[in-house]
Amino acid sequence: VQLDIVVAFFVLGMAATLLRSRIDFPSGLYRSCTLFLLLAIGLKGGYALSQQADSAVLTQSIAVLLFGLLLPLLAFPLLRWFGGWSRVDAAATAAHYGSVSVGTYAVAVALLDAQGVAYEAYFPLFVALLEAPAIAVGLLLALRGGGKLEVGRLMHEICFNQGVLLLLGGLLIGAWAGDRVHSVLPFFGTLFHGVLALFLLEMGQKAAARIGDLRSQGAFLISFAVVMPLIGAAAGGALGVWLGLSVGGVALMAVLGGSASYIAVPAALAVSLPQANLSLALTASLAVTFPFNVMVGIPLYLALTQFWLG
Amino acid sequence: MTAKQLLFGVCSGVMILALGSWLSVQAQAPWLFSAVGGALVMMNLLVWMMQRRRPVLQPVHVDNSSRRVR
Repeated sequence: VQLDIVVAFFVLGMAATLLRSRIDFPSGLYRSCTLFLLLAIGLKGGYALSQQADSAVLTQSIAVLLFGLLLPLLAFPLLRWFGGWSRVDAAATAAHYGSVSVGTYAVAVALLDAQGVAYEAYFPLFVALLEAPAIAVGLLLALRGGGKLEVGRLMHEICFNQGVLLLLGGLLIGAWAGDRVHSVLPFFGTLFHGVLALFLLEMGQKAAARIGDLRSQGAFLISFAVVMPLIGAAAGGALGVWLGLSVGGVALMAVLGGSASYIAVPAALAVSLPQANLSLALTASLAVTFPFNVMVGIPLYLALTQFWLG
Repeated sequence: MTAKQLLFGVCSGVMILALGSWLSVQAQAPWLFSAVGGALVMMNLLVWMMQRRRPVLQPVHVDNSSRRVR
């Protein structure tokens, strides 16, 4: 399996920062790229839902929600028992690894599209569903040792953060509009890969900027950030097979299981769990897991799915 | 680095190395995957050895209470 062209932009961004030749990427442009990607993914998924909404999607959605609750429970004991981390830090990092990364999902979709591998087009629904459960589980794990929780503020952050709102908003608009989506698809469809390339250029810079933090965080963090995506991807792939998804669908479910959040979860936990050391999770997910998934994980998950199911 | 952290890093690295090598031979995965496993093993062992070699400075307590003057 060949790497998709957009991955080269990620490598370029990393190289630029490592060579101390910083590309002046406007922060507004990065936010615009994120906004565009979320809306484009949501719209495409919503349109697919309008074409094939049935009871199977509901069953799959419930299973995906339960999967989102399970993932942090896999990560938490590893961090506690092997890492010897405090309950709060382990729970916060487990929440990051239980949630998903829309950027990783977008790279996987680009690879599937480039290789002509079919997948369930309503997958953005699963992306949105997987954002929140891990945050709730992470908080419950952290607060079992005692602590106060601002439930109202937290629920607002979980349900109405920019990522979830735009993804679900795009889904609803796409599902409601049906074929009328074609009037905006030239913009959201044709430009998708170009905008993803720009987004990855900046992500490469962000990941490289965090590499220095790894020196102080230790070998265990790096090992965990490589191993946990593989465990999550194996669980996601198994779920995809159990749900009877297509080859592309199983690969995408593995990608979702193997990805770690670096936008929605830190924002939610900064509000609800201020005592947690979020830099541990952010460094792991941004500097190790995201590059690992983009360069090694996604082609590997797709190749293995095709090997075993194709 | 604790013994458990070393165990986790080395064991997972060896497993990735073995699985990656087998998949690469089957032409199902890039060699980069097994290289990641090898790098994990090397990194964990290097960090562990560097920490073992580093002297641990602890306050020296000299107990003179039992010393007799002859």
